[in-house]
Order: sequence, then structure tokens, then C-alpha cells
Amino acid sequence: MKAKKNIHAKALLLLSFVCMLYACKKDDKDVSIPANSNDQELITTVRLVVSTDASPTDVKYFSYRDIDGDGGTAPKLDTIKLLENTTYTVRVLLLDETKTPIDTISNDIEATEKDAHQFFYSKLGMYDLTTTYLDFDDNSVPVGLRISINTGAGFTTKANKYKVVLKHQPGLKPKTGNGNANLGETDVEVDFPILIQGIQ
Amino acid sequence: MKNILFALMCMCILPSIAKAQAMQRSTDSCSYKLVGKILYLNDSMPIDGAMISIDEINTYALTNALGEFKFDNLCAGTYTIHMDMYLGVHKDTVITLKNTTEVKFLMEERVYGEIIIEGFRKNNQPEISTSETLEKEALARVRGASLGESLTSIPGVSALQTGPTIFKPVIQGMYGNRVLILNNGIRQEGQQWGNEHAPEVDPFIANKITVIKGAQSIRYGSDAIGGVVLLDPEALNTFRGTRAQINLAGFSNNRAGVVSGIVEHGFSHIPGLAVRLQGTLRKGGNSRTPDYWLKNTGFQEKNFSAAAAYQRTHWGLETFYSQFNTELGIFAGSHIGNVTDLITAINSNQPAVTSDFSYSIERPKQVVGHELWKNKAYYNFGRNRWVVEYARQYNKRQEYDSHKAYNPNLPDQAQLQFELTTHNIQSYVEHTIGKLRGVAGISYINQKNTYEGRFFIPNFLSNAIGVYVTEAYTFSKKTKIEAGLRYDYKTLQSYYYENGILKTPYRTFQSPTASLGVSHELGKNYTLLSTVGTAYRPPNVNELYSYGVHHGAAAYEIGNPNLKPEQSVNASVTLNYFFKKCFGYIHAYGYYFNNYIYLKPVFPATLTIRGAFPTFEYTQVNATYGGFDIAFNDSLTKHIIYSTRLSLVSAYDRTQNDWLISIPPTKWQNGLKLVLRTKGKIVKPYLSVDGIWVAHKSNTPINSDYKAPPPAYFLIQAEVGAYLTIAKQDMLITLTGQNLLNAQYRDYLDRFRYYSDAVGRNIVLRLQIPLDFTKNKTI
Repeated sequence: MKAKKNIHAKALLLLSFVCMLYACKKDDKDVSIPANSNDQELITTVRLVVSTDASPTDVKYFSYRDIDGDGGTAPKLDTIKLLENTTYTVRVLLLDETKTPIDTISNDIEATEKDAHQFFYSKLGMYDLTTTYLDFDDNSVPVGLRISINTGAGFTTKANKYKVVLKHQPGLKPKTGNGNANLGETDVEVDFPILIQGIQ
Repeated sequence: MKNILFALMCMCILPSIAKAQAMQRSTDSCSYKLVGKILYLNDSMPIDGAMISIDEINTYALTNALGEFKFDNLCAGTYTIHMDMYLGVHKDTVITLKNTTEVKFLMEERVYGEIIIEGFRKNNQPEISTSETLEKEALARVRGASLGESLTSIPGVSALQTGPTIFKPVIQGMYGNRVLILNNGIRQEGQQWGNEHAPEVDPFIANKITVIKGAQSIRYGSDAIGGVVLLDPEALNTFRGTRAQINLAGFSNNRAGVVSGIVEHGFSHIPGLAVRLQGTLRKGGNSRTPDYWLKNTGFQEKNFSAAAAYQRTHWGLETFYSQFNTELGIFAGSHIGNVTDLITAINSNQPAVTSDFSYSIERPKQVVGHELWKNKAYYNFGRNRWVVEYARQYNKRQEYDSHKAYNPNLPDQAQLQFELTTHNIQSYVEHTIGKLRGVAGISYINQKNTYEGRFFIPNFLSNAIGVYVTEAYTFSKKTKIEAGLRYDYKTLQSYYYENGILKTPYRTFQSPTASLGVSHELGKNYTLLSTVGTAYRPPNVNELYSYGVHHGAAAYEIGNPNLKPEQSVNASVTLNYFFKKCFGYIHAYGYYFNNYIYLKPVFPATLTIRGAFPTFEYTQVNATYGGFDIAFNDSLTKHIIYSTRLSLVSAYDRTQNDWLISIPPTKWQNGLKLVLRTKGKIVKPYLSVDGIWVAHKSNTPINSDYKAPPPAYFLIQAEVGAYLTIAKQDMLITLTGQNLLNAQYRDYLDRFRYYSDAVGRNIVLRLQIPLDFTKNKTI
């Protein structure tokens, strides 16, 4: 009888011990010190670095900058200005300008994430311009961090836009062909106003 | 009068028969059986879980759900029999078992004092309200599904869905912060503000799930506007012995399996002490629509709970600890980077992302844990009871975007994380004074929330106190009236950064609420319940301060720090009817809201680096809700039961003269159930077929949805089931076919209707195995 009682007592003790072990997960953070969202990785800037083979040192920058992230102050957007009938080499930089030093997120994509990302470029409006991919991932599918742009005839309308889209396609990016813009999640979508000037 | 309120406990043992047992004992003639049944005298309902003990041989048995008990291998002689029901009701008698095969026992009843078999109200439930309960077979039939999905069989209850795994209960067209869940008597405090946040509850902890429709502000808190879901575990059986139950379920569509077990033990050497352990594992893979798999829609869930109770005649102590842990994959085609993605998904008939079956859960996903520790003490004095409860809840919610950090050196962590800690102290007195019966209580809640990662809702500290009293007065056998009054006071201190500057807004809210209900019997077959009341809900923290892109919704949501509390006047009428062969109810309700809080589209769209997002701001309008539920059951023949259930609700924005969005469409369900004869070991077999028709939602606001409401759909569901008596245990086995015709459809309340069809055919096999080790105790 006594032994039985002991077993029960032990079982109870064990039970309460197990409860104590698991019990009471805690939130140790101070409620009055909220997390600052600036600690998060954030793409604030899309910068196109544009040059020609003829004069590689003459570099132009066109940027989309939203330094405070989504909402708040409206983003600043440059107009892309190119010359007609010219071939340009373009490098795309994605920056986090909230960090010091500035974090170049596009370097991370180039280093390890090529197989999961692709840029897609398109024209909004009727004008003459072709985009060619210059870089490829391990499966020879384009990435688009480096492209070349061939401009056609110049125009003066201000309504034309050049669309830059970055898709995140983890496990979805095709292994052959030129990619598929309909897959995955959009990381960047920026419509740059564009002007192609005639050469006098 | 007392006979009604407190029916005297009278039990009768049905004629018991002592028969020679097949298996003869070698040494003596101790081979008689004592078989009996314990019923309530007033309504002949069986008493489950009563303990019958026999002094002379120091053994005992427990009654099953049908009130039956059995002793084997009894010798002839005179025995002193004790019967104990829970709540401390006892009864003694003496029987003489003779050496004959057929003996009838008549018991002399002796009642110690005045015994209340109606017992105390469970969880303080109101006396006059419209509710529906899932228990026993009805609950067994939905076992293995999540809480929100389990409740959709109740008229007037639907689910706000995010694909095949996330279900939020919708009662009378309301959800989220307007619906309260009481887990074991404690307000469930999780991150209920998100439409894709399912309640963090394991339905297996409950053996009874009750939905109370309509505002229940007085007892449960002023914000219980739409209704309340009560999850009640079975009262711990403090009688000696061990009982267990195993539930198994398998689902064909997503190849999901569910195992849940519960074991409880009443200590023989410490009378009144009992413990219970319970655990559930659920795991499922990708779901399948009639035409394709939904990638990354698997889930896995691990839950457990432990409880202990110590009961004495006048007082008792209870403790309960539970943990809920889930990991949910979010369908890869539904996580939207921007509006272009959303439009692309909407315009394609079939998701661009294809997949095969898999159990693996990848980003995007949710990882949610919830912990509850509850302690309760009570003291009974006279016809009153004083209860004190303390509960602590901790909720951790992590949301992983489909994107992990670009920088490979950063940890693979969640982009959003919320930790909510809630302390709840409440005390109440249930009292009976003459014809007056009521509850008076006080409740205090302290909450702390912190976030990590991307900002969506702020850190906050909140304190809320409520005092209430509600009394029911019985005028006559036919008429009862119940009135309640409550006062709430709440403070909310928030902390967040706006443009790098720390903001610390402080708000206080307070309001009285009142309710009145009358129940009246109209003749023998009808009872009419009428209620009218007020409700008030302080704005939730997300409604005040949220700011950012809601990824699931592809919307930019902006809180409004100046919101006032939402206020409503509500009324309902319920007619219950019960004839010889048919029964059911008609329930009609209406709400008249002032300062109803909702998300209103604002212009222009917010421009971000991921494109422009449609922008919504929390705003207040005046709104009206109205609807009705009808249930009707009719026994067509002795073996065939027909049932029909119809529910309809509409909601209108009186400020802008437009309909409100996301209100459930009309649902009409018709079923036939064929109850067959018990044959040998197959007990109460049945066969049922149900047709579920859901209408096209027509009253929706113009230009505020990405996609028009889907067309009406019709689903067929069938089921066979029976109890099987194997090894003296009554196993319940059911086989259910959901969406049997493999219909292609989309549901208006399912956010996935933008991206994909709903799941196709699903065959579910369920097994409930009770293991009652107290049965058939041999001497």
C-alpha cells in the first residue's frame, strides 16, 4: 500500500516537474523600446549605372530612391536620358542607404542568389529600344544585373517609361530558356520615365 | 419550483440481471454479474462517469456514456453499494445478490440534503441565449480538423479562410476581434487581428464545443459582439481509476494524419485528486484541388496539455497547462510582392506555380506557439459558489516571407514576430437567492506585446478591468427574465517609431454595457427567447497604429490613432420548437452599429520600390447587420431523419450607403440520415448524405474587391459510421467523403479564391477508441 502511495507521489512530482520544464516561455524584451525597423534589410535605391563602350569613363547614374522605406516621404525618381542609336552597358545596383556604410544588396544576389532572382525589363509606351542580358546564372538563364541597351530613334514625348522588375523565384526560376516573369514574388518594380534624345 | 431549478437527484438502477458467466471460475460459484444503468429520474438521461463502488469486495466501476455499469464475477451475498456523481453527489444502497440467474433490485433512495444536479453553470454561461453545442458523436465527426473548420457545421457559423489550413470562425457575419474564444474558461488572447491568423487552440482538449450566438458582452467582455466559442474539457473524474481515449484520423486529400490521446487517472489513496494528460499530433502535406496541387500548403502541429484537480465537498483546486505549436506553409502562389503579382495571379485560371505532393514546408510560412497556464479555486457555500481564477498566456507568432535575407551572413529568421503575454485574474460569485440566480464578478487583464523585424503593429502595454453583475429571475414555470450590467475600463500605452522618432501614445477607453433577455414557453411545443443588449469594443491596436504592407492582402494598411470605440445595439429572437417527430429553431438577429471600424480604400495608392499598393485606412462608419438561421429536423420514419439548415446574413454601411465586404453568403444544407439496427457488435450504424449549397454573394460593395464574388456552388458529402464493440470497448468509426463529386469551386470567404480553386474530394477515416480500465474490474 505504502509503496503504491509513493509511486503516485512520485508520478505527481514528475508531472509537476515536466510542467515546470516546459512552463512559462518568456518574452524578455522591454516593451518601451520597440524594435527599429531600420535594422531590417531594406532596398531603398535602384541605381542604373550607364556607360558606353566608346567612352567608358563617362558614367551616368539614374536612380529611384526611397530613403525612409515604404510610405512616409515620397520616393525620388530620375528620368533616364539616353542618346539615340547608341549601345549602352548598364549595371544595376540595389542599395540599402539606411545602413552605414551603404549596403549593396545586389552584390549578395550576384554572389549567392543568382539562381533565385531575375530582372525583367520592359517598355511602357511606343519607342525604339532593345534590352539584352549580359549575365547568366549557373543554368545559363539570364539574371539581368548587367544588360546592354540599344537605343533607336529619339523622341520628345514625356510619357514613355522603362520598367525594371526584380522577381524572387526561389526554386521556381526555370532551368532553361530566358526565364518567366510570371513566377515568384516581386522584390522591385520601378517605372523610370525615359527620354531618348536625337543627336544634332 | 425547486424541482425545476434543482431537480432532486434521483437515480434508479434498472433491473439488473445476474447471469452465469461463460468463463467459469474453477474454485467457487462467484460468477454472477451485476449490470445496471444510472439515469436522472426527472428526464431519464443517462449519467456518464458516475462511480459505483462495492464496499465488501473493495472494487468499483464507472458508468459509460449510456449510464451503464457492470460488475463481473460476483459471489452471492449482500453488498453495500455507493454511487458517486461528480459535484459531490452521493447515494448509498444495499442489495442482495442471490444464487439465482435473475434478480431484480429495487433501491431505496436516500438523498443527503438538497442536491443540485443541474450543477453550477459551466463557464458562467448565460441563462438566456441561443447556442449550439458540438459534443459526443457530433464532435467525433469533425475531429482532426482545425477549430474554425470544425464549427462550420453549425448554422450561422462560417469560416474566414486562407487556403486549406487557416480557418477563422465567423459568427453572425463577424470575426476576428468581434468573436471571442474561451479556452477552458479563459479568453483566448492571441494575435486575432489578422485575417490569416487562425485561433491557436487544439480542439482535442475539449469534449464539448459550444457556440453562443449574438453579443455576450456581460460575462465574457464587452467586445464579444458576434458571439462566443466555448471549448470545455470534460470535468476531471476524481473517482479512482484510469481512463483513456485515442482519436485517429486520416485525410486522403492532403494525406494528413492526426493522432490524439488523452489519459486520466483518479487517485484511490487521495480521494478527490485526479490528473489528466493529453496530446495531439497533426501533420499534412500539400492539398489538392480537382485539377492541381497547391504548393507549400502543408502543416504540422504538436499540442499537449496537462491538468490536475483536487475536489472536496465545499472547495476545490484546478490547474491546467497547455501548449499549442504549429507550423503552416502558405501557398506559394498567394504570397504577393505587389499588385502586379496579384493581378497576374487573379487573371490566370490556374496558379503559375505548380507542384507535386509534398510534406515539406518552405517559406513563406507561419510558426505559431501558444501557451496557457490556468489556475482555479472555488468555494461552495449554501447554494452559492465563489471562484477565483488566474491565467497566464504567452503567444508567439512568426511570419516568414518567401524571401530570406539577401545577405547570406544574416540568420534565416522571420520577417515579422509578435510576442504577446497576457495575465488574467478574475473572480466571481454564482449565487441563488430565492427565485433569483446570477453571477457577479470582476475581471482584470494585463497585456504586453512586443515585435521584432518589420513594423506592422506597435509594442504595447494594456490594462483592462471589467465589473459585471447579471441576474436571472424566474417568474413562473414558463417565464424567465435575465438582466445584466457591466462596466469596462481599458488603458493602452503603445510604443513605436515613426520616421525614426519614438512615439508613445496613451489612450483610455471606458463604457457601460447592458443586456436583457426573456424566455417564455408558448404552450407545450414552443419556447421563445428574446434578447436586447448593447456592446462596445475599444479599437484594437492594429486598427489604431498599423502601418505597412500587409503581404497576404497586397494592401498598404494605415491605422487611425483617433478611432473611437465601436458601439452597437443588438437584438435577437429565437423560436425553439419541439414536436413528437421534429424539432429545430428559427433565430433572427440584428445589430445597429455606431462607429463601426473597418478598412476603407483611400487614394492615391502608396508608391513603394515594389510598385504602387492600393491603400486602406481604418475608418469608422455606421453600419447595420441583420440575418437569420433556421434549423429543422424531422424523423420521416423510424429510421430516416431529414434535416435542413439555412443561414443568411447581410451588412450595410449606413454612412456611405453601400454594402460591407466579406460577409458570408447564404448557405443551405440538407441531409438525410439513415439509422440502422444494432447488429451484434455493430452498434447504432448509420448512413448519411448531405447536400451543401452556398449562394453567390450578391450584396457586395462596388469597386472594392480585386475579383468579383465567385458563383454559387454545391457540394455533396456522405458518411457511414458505427460503434464497434471490440474487447469490451465501444469504438466509434466513421468514414466521410467531403466534396464527393470533386466539384471545382471557390468560396467567397476564402482569400485563396483570388489564386486557386478550393480543395477537391477528401475522404476521411476517423476512429475513436475509448480505453476504460475501470470497466469489468475483476475481483
